Amino acid sequence: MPEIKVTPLGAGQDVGRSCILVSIGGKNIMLDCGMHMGYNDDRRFPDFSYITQNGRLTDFLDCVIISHFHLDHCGALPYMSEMVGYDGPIYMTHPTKAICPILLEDFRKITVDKKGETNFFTSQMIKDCMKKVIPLNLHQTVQVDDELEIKAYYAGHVLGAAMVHIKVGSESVVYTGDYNMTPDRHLGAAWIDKCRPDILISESTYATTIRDSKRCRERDFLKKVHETIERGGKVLIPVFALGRAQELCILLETFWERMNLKAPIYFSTGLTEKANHYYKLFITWTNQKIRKTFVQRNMFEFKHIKAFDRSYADNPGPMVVFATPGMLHAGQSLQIFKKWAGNDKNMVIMPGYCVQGTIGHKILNGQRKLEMEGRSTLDVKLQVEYMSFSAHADAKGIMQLIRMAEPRNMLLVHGEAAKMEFLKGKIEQEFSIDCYTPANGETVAVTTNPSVPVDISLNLLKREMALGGPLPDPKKPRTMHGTLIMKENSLKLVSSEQALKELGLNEHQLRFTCRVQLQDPHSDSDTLHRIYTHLKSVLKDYTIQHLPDGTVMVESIVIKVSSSAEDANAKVLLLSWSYQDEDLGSYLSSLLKKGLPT
Amino acid sequence: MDSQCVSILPRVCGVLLVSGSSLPDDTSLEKLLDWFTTIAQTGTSLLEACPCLVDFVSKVAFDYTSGSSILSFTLKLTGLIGASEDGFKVLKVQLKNPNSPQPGLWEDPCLRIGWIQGLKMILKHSEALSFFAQADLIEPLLQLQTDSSLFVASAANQTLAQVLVLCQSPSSVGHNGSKNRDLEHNSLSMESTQNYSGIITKVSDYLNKSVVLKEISQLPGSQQILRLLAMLLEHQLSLFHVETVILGSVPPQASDCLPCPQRLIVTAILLLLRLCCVDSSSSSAGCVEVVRFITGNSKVQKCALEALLVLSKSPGKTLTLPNTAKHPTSLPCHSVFKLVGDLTGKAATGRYSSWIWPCVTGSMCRQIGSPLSSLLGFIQAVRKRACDTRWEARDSTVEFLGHLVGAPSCWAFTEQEMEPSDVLLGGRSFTVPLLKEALQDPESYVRASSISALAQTLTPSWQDGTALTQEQVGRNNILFQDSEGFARRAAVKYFIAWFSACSSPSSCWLLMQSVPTVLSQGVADLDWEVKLHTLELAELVLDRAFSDPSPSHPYAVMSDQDHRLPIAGQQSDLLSSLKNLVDWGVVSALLCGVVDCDRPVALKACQLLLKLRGIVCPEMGKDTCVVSEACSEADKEGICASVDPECVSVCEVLRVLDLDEKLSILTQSSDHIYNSPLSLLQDILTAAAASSPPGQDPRQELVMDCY
Repeated sequence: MPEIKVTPLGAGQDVGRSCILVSIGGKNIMLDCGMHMGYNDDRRFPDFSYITQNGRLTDFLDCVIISHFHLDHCGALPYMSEMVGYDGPIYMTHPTKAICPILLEDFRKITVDKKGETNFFTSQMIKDCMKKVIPLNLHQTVQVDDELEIKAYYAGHVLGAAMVHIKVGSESVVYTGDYNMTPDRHLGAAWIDKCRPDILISESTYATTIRDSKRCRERDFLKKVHETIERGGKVLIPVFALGRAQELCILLETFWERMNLKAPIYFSTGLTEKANHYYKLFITWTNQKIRKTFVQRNMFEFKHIKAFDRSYADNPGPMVVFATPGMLHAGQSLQIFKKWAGNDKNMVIMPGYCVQGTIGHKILNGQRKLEMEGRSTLDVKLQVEYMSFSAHADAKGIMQLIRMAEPRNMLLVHGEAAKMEFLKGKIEQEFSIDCYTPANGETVAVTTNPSVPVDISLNLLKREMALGGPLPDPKKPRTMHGTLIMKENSLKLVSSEQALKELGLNEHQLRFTCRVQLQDPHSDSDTLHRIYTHLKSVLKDYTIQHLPDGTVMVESIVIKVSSSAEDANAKVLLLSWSYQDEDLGSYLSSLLKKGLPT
Repeated sequence: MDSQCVSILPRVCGVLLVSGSSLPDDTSLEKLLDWFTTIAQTGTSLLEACPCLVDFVSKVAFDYTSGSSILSFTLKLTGLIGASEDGFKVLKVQLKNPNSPQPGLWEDPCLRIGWIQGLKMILKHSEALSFFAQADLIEPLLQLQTDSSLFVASAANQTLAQVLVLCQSPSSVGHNGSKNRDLEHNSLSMESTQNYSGIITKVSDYLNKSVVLKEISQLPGSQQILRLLAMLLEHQLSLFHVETVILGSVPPQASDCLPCPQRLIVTAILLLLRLCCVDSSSSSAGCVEVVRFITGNSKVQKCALEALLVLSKSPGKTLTLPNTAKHPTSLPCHSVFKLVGDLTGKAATGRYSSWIWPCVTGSMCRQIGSPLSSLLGFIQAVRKRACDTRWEARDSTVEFLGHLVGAPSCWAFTEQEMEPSDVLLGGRSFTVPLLKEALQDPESYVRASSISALAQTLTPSWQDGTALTQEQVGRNNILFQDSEGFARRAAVKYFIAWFSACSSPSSCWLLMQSVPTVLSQGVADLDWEVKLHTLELAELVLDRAFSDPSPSHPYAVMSDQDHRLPIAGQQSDLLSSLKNLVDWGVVSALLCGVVDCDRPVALKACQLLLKLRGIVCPEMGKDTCVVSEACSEADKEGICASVDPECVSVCEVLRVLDLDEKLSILTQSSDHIYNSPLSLLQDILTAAAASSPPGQDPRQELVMDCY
């Protein structure tokens, strides 16, 4: 039986770097190629040596598909393509292709800036990598080769995020990447066809959570920012240049407008302009409200949010600053944090997760004294808040997607083992399908039972109906008999007569014959009559005729009697039947071999 | 090792015992192991350095309830401790009859990985091997060879190879080792030989079951091991690796160190290129396997061309290509076209030719100087690609043009009064307008490439001292205002190239006019790499101002001793040079840079200021210091807030800055604090303290999510 194999190299029972290998119908596909920010050595990248023994990735992989621009999904791409070596196709949506190099470049700069690392991909490598990318449109089927096709669906989450349907012949897999089933301020909700894939590979970040209302979180956020501003404090919001930063910008912009607030909001990165440029360019990827109001007012042309200059950090009075990077581990956000940390009127709001080895991680865990360069320490007096604004589907959303796509099997990635186990139980209970949660490096093999769609001729169906069978019901499988015609990539089941007619063939009769010797001292005609009587008594439901030409017929089986030349008492019976009556013919010959009743 | 870390470690172990499985960061345990590994690698005994670890290991081993992640960590740690013979002995006493872990835990691949990695670490000495043999651990190890987890199977495979190496090594030590070693070996030999043969028999049986290996079983013992080892390792090595190793081993700029005559390497590379181009059918039967791997392999083609490029750059050597007629392995012209054709032919698959082929043909003409002009429609193709709708194609074309005009072999052509750009594309009159057009490209990558290509194109005119028009300078100043970092970086590099090509500032007055603007804008850029390149330009100007005869490495810090005290007659020269530096904005650029928040910028500026200090006031603090009354421009323009707006002496500024202290801080990355073992241990402790039972924590649960 054919099978589909799925092996996570990353995101198997963890929320690290997503990198999932899928083997389907002889094709090998890599889904996402992310990096782990928690490591400072090669462990931040997936170990590609596991993919093929000899390291020739291009020979092994048919394509790489990137779901969205977050670094835990695309951060290892230049490493893979330019340093390990992969020359095959890489697919991502248009917005992802546009924004991905910005984030990679930003990340490269921060890494090299912070640690002076030299063994890291360069700007040129990012560019060369992006040249290998083939952009995808939503709902457009792209033929990777003669057999492998892929189709992208809207996933919400961040601009350009896509779920992807991968199909080889009749087998298929859907990979969700990160997705969100509820629309937010600037993006819509994920959606997919009822495509009934063999496996649905879904993220499960919030596998056990039914998220509290987004409005509550937003209100809480605005309240905290407002209170700090009111008491003359400064608010620092460390973000990565794109993604939730835009969501929070819209949120604050709207709030400032409504409350007529005057305190300045700054966005401190050179990337913002480019980022906002892309948000305007890919307006069709945002949600309905933004698209609708676009003509009157572009939501990404902010009235209250201005570009930040580093000298503003020393300005007196309240202000809100969005600064990169998001984990306070280098660059401007860290610089501003150091300036403001000593004042308890100020506040830092961490809108996302921070890995160990960053200041963000330390302050979120409650450290209030931080060691700084040059043997100095920093007293953290400002208020530290954590509010997750990442847009993932919660448990309810994941179940909703399963209902939408109706997969035959489920496979969970990008989540914590214990939470996945809980969700797995719920899914298996509610949908009666198998749910897998492989760890990194573990392979799940799912046997597929490919259903081949076949057209049935109306005549054949009518004939079946005439025989008194039940009406056709898509939910109740039943056996049909006919001739299967394979023609121009289509399959058709018709009656044999119709098949002959359509194919222009003559019917040939195939008959089996056999001789049976009997000891019967009667005349030939008497023997024949005895046979007739005997069969009449044995085969009650069959048409048995004694014909005037000296034969007995049972259905299509003809029986003749002749005397043996050597032995006058011996009779030779000749039986002949068509192949349709093979069973009955065999039965009769064995019956007659036993002799006639005396 | 930091004593503070040692004093915290017992508390951390306590935390791990209680909440090991619920650490908020999944990398903490692995980083902790990294630290222990570093200690062990320095030759220090891990147990002496951290005595609490044995206690920790035994507590986990005798605890029924340990979770899989902490068990896995402990297994690895045990391996690390047991890797030394002393540690192994201690563990043997401490860990007698540990509890079996909870049933079902073995199903967790995390635990199997811990076990196999621990085992791999411990198998470093004969004691461990004996233990391995007596406990019959070869059985589970063989089972794990086909584990459902790739990671486990791979580690098990490596461990098995290690076991075989260990089984092999006593016999080799016996032949070559010292007398003492021989004696020691003899006393062990009876028992260990039995152990080893038992292991080898089991491995052979296993392999016999899985693969047909009849001939191996008939070999003598030691050869059996070697053969088994070879089999295990064989599939790890591939032709591709060999190719990369060969090509990668060509040392840049060091043709004297080549492993064999350059001619042979060139021949080999050309043979490789030829194999890439030919049909597999034409090769001999023995080569089929090789050809199958590399025919049409663009990676190999690129590698080969890169290797040729490196060879051609070897100083003092000219790349001589074998004559086609005499050397059947050399690359004939038709193969060149086939190579190009192969790559463009990939248009059938659609997508890659647009970027591959200009790159490859670019490198090609650089190296081989083939008369590509005979390629029909080549010029038209370049024109067409320069205005392709995809930025990828446009950028590759612009990069190609840059390679073409900047290629060293092209200048070799010039000596023969035949420029390759003439041969290939009808000369600079064709290239320059195309590149100028690309300056306006909407994609910043293309703009940056076109600036770099223009710099390549203009280098010869800078070298001859042919003056540029004001319009050209103006255009590059405008480019400096580009919204994208790539283009601005390229623009600064353009000025660096220009400055390097000029023989003296006086011969390039136009350039020197724009230097102050470039420096002041560059050092205030948003992109730290632009700032860094600006400082590189400042360094060139600095070196030129003092006519430094020995150009140092750009990042090298000059010690004070490197500069002799300026003798009295040179003082006025020094003063005027310093005055020039201030006027050109070099000093203000360095002062801005040294307070920059981006570490590489501050570091570079600090190094340059130290260099300046070494020249102008070599004995800082003494009266011999040369005082310049020059006003830094930065002060006038108020760019650097940290500098007193009044005129100050350069020496005074250099003294106040405490550059030596700054340099020592900047040389270390910020990681030395936040990724230090102490920081990690503190993080584990505070995380444990912060996580109170669920429901009682007012703070929202930290959810690991995307970034």
